[in-house]
Amino acid sequence: MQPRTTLAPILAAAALAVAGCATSPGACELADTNRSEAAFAGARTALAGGCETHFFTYLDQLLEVAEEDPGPVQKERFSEFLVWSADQGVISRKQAQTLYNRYFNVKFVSLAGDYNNCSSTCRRPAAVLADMEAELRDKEQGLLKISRDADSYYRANRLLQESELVLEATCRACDVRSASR
Amino acid sequence: MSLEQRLSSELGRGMTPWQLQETLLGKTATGKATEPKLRGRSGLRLSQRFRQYYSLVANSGGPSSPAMAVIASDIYLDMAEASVLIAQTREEIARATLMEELNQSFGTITPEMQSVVDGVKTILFGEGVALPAVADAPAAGESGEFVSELAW
Repeated sequence: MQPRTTLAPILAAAALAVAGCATSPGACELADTNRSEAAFAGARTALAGGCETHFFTYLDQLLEVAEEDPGPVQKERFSEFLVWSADQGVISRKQAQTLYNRYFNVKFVSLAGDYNNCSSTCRRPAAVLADMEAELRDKEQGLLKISRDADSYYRANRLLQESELVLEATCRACDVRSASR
Repeated sequence: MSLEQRLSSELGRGMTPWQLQETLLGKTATGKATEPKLRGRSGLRLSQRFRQYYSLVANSGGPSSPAMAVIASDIYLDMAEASVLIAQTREEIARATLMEELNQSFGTITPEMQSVVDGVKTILFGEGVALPAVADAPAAGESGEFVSELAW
């Protein structure tokens, strides 16, 4: 996943700079629990105590715990956790948005950009669609398994199918038009 | 303006990827009310396809609604594939027409004419008569009673 690869070196450097907090082995491990609220509280405590580099490990663990305790309220819990993490400087605001939307929104963060489709998406349509497929699996976890929001998941699934079709047609039209100029 | 131009200008150059998603989802659409059929899964009758095409043409606003964008793409891709098949069919018709014209120019080839052609080919290219798959029957003279060379 893109945010993890870009954030990891920064967080590693930051962790070295503030070395001293939670350096003993196992100090950053979260207590084993099946209760989602307790897991979130534990993650907050650990992150505030110098374990920022473990953010993505905690996120994975929180997602797993939330699967055992599913319900619509989980969307709100993850949103609050991500906003809190951004406020604490563990991740950026943009990363928080990207993570939330990747798991809990119908729209795909993989299909985004500031330029038009002809000059951006159509230059690498296969890669974009592969990223969207991967994101759909995360949405399955976030929307279907954790939030129990089947309607939203099926809309995301349909959006992927429609995007595939529309992008194929649009990119072909873009190619023909640019070739005829 | 052609469908291709509209797809290129409105969806291709006129929207970012995020806006495209918003168009497909629709700001107020529930997802079920505007559910279009997808290529390959629809099994649409030709009349249904043309009904969609009529809706697309009748909609002067272009492919701005979620269903219209998908239908426009579906029709465009279908048309591109259909164009290839139409071109192939035209080529076949042209080939069959040419063969018929040749037949009419040279008339029907009779077995006698074919036999003459085969003979000429044998002379020119040395083509032999194909060997029969099963052995011929022995000649009549050779099938008589044995006669020893010692006999008087």
